Amino acid sequence: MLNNVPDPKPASLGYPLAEIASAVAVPGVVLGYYFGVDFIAIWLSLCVVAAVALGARGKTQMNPVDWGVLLVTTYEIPSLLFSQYRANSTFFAWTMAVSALLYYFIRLTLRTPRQVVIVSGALAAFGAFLAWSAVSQFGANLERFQSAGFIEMVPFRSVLIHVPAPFVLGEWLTLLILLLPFAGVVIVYFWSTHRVLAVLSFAVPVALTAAMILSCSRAVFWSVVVFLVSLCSLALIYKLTRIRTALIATVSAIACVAILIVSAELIYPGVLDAYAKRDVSQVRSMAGRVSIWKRSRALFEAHPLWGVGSANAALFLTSTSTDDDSGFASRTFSLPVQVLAEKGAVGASCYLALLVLLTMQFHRRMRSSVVESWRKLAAACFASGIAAAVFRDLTYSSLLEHAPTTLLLVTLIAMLSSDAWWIICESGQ
Amino acid sequence: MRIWPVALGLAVVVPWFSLMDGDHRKAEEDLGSFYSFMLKVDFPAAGKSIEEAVRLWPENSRYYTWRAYWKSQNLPPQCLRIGSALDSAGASAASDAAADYRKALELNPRDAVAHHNLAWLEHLRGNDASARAEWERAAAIDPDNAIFHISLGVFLEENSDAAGAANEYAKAVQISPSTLDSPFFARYRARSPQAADALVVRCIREMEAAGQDQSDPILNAHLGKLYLYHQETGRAAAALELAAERLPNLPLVWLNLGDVFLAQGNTEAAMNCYEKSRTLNGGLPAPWLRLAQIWQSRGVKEEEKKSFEATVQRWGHRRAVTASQNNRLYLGRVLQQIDDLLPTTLVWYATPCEASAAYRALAELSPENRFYRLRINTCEEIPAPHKGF
Repeated sequence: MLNNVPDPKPASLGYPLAEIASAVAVPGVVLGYYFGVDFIAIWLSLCVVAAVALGARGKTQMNPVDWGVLLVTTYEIPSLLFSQYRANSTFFAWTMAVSALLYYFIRLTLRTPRQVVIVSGALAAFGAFLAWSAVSQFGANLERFQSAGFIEMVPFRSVLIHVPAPFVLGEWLTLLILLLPFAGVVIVYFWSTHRVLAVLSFAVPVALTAAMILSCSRAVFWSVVVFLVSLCSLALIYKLTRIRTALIATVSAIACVAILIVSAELIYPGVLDAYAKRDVSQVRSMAGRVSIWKRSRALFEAHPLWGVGSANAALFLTSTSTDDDSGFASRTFSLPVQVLAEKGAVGASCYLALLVLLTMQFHRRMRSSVVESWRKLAAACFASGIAAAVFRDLTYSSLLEHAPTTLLLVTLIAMLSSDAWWIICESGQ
Repeated sequence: MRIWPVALGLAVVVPWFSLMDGDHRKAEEDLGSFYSFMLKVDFPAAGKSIEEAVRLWPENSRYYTWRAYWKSQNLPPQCLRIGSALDSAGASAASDAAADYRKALELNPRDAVAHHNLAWLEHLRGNDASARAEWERAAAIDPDNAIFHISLGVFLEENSDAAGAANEYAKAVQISPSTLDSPFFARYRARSPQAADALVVRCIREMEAAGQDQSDPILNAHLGKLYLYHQETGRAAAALELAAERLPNLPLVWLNLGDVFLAQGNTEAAMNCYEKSRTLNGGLPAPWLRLAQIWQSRGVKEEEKKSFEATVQRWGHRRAVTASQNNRLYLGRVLQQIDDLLPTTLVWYATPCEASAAYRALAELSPENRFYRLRINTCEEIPAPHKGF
């Protein structure tokens, strides 16, 4: 069973209001970018300066993941010089700079479980809003299609949920995957303190999962499964729960997803076909991906060291499309392929280094005997979120496409690396 | 090392970068204003916006292409003949616009639209060798754009290379069979009926031979349209039904299948198909036109008028051909809303035109409406890129 939540002793900012404000600022940045609010970066910079001035300096040392984040951000500077089309890469460099700033802001200011639950709660609420929007649109659009005489729904899955520009549905669904762990952490937190709130909080991941199931995207569905299985496996591997509890949790989670699919099938007959059968559009979609990966390999071979520059893959894929029939490639359809094609061997090494450092640090901290189980479970939740998003992006490339997606990924990394879960206990406080 | 100096350093660097990016942000705002002014046909205000954008961010190739496009607004939509008689203002505008496209290509050599438009300007100025090279580059960078092939083909045809032109036209038709419903193809058929029919037969033959998987829905969708044009309704029905069964989310398949049913006299089935096409793409004018014509034949005046009005409204607000692709290729804070192909009437010339039929019907329904009467020959009056075509 989980331990009780300890009192948040170290209040490094000194002022409770400042702590809450700093926690609110994190989802504020993500939501600001999603809704197109201006000057977010300036506000974030001011927040960092204010936090340092208010005493957030403390004794926090740079950890390996901090260096990793600094490495991938710094990479963008020389990369700009080698970019084949600099205007595109400038936009991405800007996103990375703001993402790094957000990362260090979280590292500086988020120290207490209360702050973590504020950030997670706000982002989970945002997730609930997106899920509600998806589910309601799905029903209305499906009715419209069915009244026109279309019986099957799978071929129309890309138009049943409308998403705001410049997102396309696949990119938007990645946002839902990234928001799932925040909803999970809220449950983990309340489980030890307010069981009723914890039970009520289950509504958010259920809504997010329902929305993702209705997307009829198998990659997204399997990402949800990866999230759940990864979470339960980590709980088992790091002995956060007993074997029986972990197995029950895994079976319950999978059963919950199965119930959601069956419910969806009962309300909207045909959903199950998206997962059980192979529709022509799904077969064509995979064949097109393989063809684009081949073209991306040619791109990497032509620019092996620095790649074609951040955000330039689509621009350069157009000119190599004569040897197949896949036509216009709007993306590389794989994050590793995108990183290799756009950032070359140098950039890919930086990103790989960050991933390795994050994994190593996570493993070391999860093995620590002084960290309470609930903190480890929350960290496992964030780690599973990253695993699910990366799994989803093995056959899609969405994490580095838009600022809100990149910022959410960086927030997950920062939360995983945050002192709120580790340093307090490691230093014996 | 402690973390706060790094965070503070970033907090200083990011606003500094933001100040630099402030210019970029302002430049993007100016680009957004440029789009709005162009949509309102306020060219002087659009010019000011795009000039400011270029001044603020001179490394962004897109701004040069838009400034060139803006400078080309008053150029004739038709080339009279090689070494055409541009007046001095026109020659100066064409030269300035070409210089901007060259600058854009210097920054981004992969801009297929810039190559295409530069080719048109070079042709207008009489530099045909350079024009041909640019058109070929555009088609090589983005071989899936049917309009690039039409442009190059028209140029070759004008230069008496009928075989070369037919090759390019064939590529365009195979990429986008709806080209057959465009003013371009209607006029090609009017001036060279045998060549046009031979072209369709050739496309059918080549596509049948090239298709490794004969059940491929896209291949069948394309072939179905070609069979329909060739008046082989039986084969068209088989191909389109197969395409509709395997990929029912393609609005043009339902439109063409509706046309097949209509040709076979099955009006109810045709209407069902048009309804499906309309549901899948509400912005497509063709299904509205077909439904309007059915209502017209049945004498249902109210539905007829509503559908014809919807047709012209949708034709007038046709989705930009290059916008969605450019919005994926180029990052920016504002989305492209207008087409950027030259000559400015090219998109209307190379894509299906439903306006004349709809305006004619509307003029009959409302004889007092002068606006409708003036537009009954809209499609026929779209200028061809070359005089005499």
